[in-house]
Amino acid sequence: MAAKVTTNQSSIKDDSELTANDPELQTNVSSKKRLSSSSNMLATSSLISPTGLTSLISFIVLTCAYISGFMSRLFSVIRFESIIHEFDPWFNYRSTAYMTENGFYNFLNWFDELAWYPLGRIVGGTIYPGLMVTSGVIHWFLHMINIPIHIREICVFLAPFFSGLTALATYLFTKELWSRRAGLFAAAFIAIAPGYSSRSVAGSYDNEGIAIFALMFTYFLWIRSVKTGSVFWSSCTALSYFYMVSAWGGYVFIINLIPVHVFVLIVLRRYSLRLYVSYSIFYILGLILSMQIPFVGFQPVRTSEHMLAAGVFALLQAYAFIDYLYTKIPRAADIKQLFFGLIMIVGLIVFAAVVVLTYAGYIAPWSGRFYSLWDTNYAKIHIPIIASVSEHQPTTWTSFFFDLHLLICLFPVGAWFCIKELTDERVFIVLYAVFASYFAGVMIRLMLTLTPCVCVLAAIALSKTLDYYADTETSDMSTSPVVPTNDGDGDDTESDKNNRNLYDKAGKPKPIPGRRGTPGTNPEAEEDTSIVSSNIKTVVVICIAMMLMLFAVHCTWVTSNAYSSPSIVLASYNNDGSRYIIDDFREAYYWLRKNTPERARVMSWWDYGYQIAGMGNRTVLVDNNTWNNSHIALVGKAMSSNETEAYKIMTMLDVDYVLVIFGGMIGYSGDDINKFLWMVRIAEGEHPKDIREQDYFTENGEFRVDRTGSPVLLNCLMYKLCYYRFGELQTDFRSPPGFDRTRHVEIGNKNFDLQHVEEAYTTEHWIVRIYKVKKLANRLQAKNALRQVQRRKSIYSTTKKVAGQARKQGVILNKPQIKKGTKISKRKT
Amino acid sequence: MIPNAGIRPCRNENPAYIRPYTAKIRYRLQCRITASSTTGKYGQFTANAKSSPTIGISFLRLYKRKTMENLYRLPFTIVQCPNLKLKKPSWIRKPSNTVVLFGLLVSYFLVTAGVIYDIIVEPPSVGSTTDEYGHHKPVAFMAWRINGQYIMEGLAASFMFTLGGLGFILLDQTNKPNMPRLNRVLMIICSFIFILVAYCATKIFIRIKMPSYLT
Repeated sequence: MAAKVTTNQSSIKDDSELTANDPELQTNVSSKKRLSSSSNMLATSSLISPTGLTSLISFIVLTCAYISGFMSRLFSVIRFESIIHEFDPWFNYRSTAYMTENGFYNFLNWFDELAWYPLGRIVGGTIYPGLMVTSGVIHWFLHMINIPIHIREICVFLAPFFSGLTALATYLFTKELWSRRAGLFAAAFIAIAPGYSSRSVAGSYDNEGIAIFALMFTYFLWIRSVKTGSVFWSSCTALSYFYMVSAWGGYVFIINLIPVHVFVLIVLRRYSLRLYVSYSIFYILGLILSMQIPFVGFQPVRTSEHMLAAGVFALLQAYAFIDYLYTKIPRAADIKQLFFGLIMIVGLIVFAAVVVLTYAGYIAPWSGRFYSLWDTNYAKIHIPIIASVSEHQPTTWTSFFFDLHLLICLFPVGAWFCIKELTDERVFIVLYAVFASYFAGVMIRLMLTLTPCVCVLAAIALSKTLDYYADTETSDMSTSPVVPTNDGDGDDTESDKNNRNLYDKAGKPKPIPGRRGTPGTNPEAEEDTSIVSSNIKTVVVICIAMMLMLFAVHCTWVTSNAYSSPSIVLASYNNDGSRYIIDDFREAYYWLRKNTPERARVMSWWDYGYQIAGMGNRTVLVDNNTWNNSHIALVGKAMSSNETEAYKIMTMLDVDYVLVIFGGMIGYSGDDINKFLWMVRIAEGEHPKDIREQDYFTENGEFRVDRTGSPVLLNCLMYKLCYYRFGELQTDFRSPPGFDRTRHVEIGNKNFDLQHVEEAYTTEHWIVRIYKVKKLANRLQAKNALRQVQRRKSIYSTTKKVAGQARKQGVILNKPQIKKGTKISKRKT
Repeated sequence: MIPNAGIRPCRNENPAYIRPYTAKIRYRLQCRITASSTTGKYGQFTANAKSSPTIGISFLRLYKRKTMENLYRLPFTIVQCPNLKLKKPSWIRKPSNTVVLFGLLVSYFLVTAGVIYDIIVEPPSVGSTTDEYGHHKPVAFMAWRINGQYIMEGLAASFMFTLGGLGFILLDQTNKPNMPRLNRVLMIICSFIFILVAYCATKIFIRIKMPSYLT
């Protein structure tokens, strides 16, 4: 299957390359035909009209891009099964299933009691519902036309489906920016680029899968509306933006990038009424629409992330007004400078006002995740919970290479071409490139937003290069050096080419046609006139084709090997190539579902919260929606303190079961011991007196679980739960008993007993271990059980005389007495 | 986009009839006759409207505009524009293309080198291992780890990326019309070498880093 897909993709690369030269090719073909047989000329030209052929070829290429994009994401389904992957998708799947069963409004009001045990979670107000609604609508539609498909299948295949749509949106976007040929390249690139397919393989049912489509489509509509300045297109932009807001938190990228675009256009003196109309309408409509999402609410008018958009909106109004004033003023050109300076000052003042308001507390400050984009060390120091997520790590060169391969070389070239021939819309792609590449450097996760931009710019670079080099015929025919056509539109170039051919045709009687029949046999003297000989051009084209083929191979390899693992089903390969499936996670979750009481509370590290709730159907304390840091820190503290301390916390939190992931038996590296330091750090952030990170290191500052490891680590709950009775087990004849195969050490603390918890279940390969928390033991009897109890006489039956209540039996002490003739208030004083 | 203070066609005259006035006269003329913000289009529009059958609608619009213009013009009967002579500071200049390209490539080089990673994680510039004889040997690449790197390996790889980019830019420069033949050949050769070297070197790097790559 892998081979099949590979060939499929490489063929698509070839296709797209063909189309890159298609206008030239077909015009050349037609012109040749005209020359060879002038009698057939009319017939052929009417049969194969250039525009018809172009659109046919682009249709075919786009279809191929769609199909290959869809197919290359199916590795995991073919290798394993149609299953939801990883962590977050499980929650999305669960809520989608809830929505299809109970309807949209019940879904919005859904209070999920399976999550965040004592607190619960109001799902409708804490998610972006676009994903669920999208799959719900598809589900509804398919059922309406009597295709009874399970919602899980829709969830699994939604991301590949939308990646095809992304290819189409990228095509439209690039077509607006540069030309149709570049658009076809871009569509082919984005369809298979690993940077995008990493988050959109079948089964990774996550917001990003549909959000990248919404992102590219919004950008396309925005470019269209800036170009035309029409109300229609900018309203469409706002609607598409609304969809993006409903789908993903990354909408903040749009609402900051578009204002930056507007601002830079103003600075570059490219202000126009088109810009004014499109931005004003987009901002107002987009603002109102985005506030309809319950999770977003009033953020667009209150938080710092959105203030740039508001500030630019105000600035644009001011600029438009001043621009109007120019028409009233003599010698406006001089005063323009002044006003321009004034506008800049006003911009600064607005910026300062936002800063002041933030400090004063009227505007919420940047949320930590965004703040860490600017101050890169911020998360590392202050918010370990953000820094702990592996996709929030900064990016290394390897990730750039793995995700983009050839495109990484072409990316700056495309940006350079755009800068050289700057127009309003190309300013946008340049800004996009600058910001996205910076953000991608800060967080691996944001490679996702960089990838479309890289694909677009690389396509532009390649298309411009091939425009010239793949055009072997024209340089030979024309006696004058061909000026490289910079094409604003695909149609323009086509008409250009047509004109040129027509011109050549008119000059038929000259000796040129004789040459044209046999290109490549030019005399040396005449070759000077042409810029580059056709041989060199052919070599260049072949080289580029080879590279593109290697790119396709690389993409397929990376997608299939690195990004297509469901991570809840693991596979290992033996030396003879046979495959061994490790299905411990589902085994454990199924056990939980079948063997524990229905309301049982399961404590685990937050990574597994969604999976336990989704597959095990049991209440969890913390999950992947990390909104409550202190709660997570409490769990982290329980995991990292010793058993007695942990038991106190566990009884406080009402925990019934504890679940840990342990990979030491089979060498699975993503287990809880490897994540353990983050638990300690997060716990330390909230409880600095009880938990200290240094205690868990050896004296050399290493994190070791063997004999030299720190005693605090060797006695903490997590260690004990992971390695309980592991010391009795010899995994391999060459290694001692209790040999951890993930960390390649013999564990330090082997023989210990558990006091407050007992082992409930351990899966086949020991990956998941579940423990039951014992109930509080009965109190021990005191040693002097038969003691003498000395009874004191009751204070109520004292014989001591109290004034006024003598001989009254059964009187409550200090009972207020009512004395006639006196006021209560007086007695008090 | 507004052709401000330019020569405008007057509404009452033929739009093609354009006559240069002195600034003062022009100003008065504008105030009196045309003061629309979209005068360029406007003149044409009226010209078309006169010949078109939808004359009623255009008159209605014209009327609306006129009243609005009167409203707009109101403050300018009182406010007089000050007579200013301004000069742009000479140091504000658009950067030349080469400067832009240079800045682009340098920043790109830094980002793809994972400099941000280096700042946050602070890895050593070059790693080291101990071989079986107990000698310390420098190691350039942190093998088997996609999410980790040494500073130098990042810079080296990123240099290769940028070199490849430069190769493509040179390839584009070769098709400038006026260039001596020798230069052109040299440039093509250079770009070929750049691209091939970049490609091969990156491939070798990734093989060192991930020995299982493409197997």
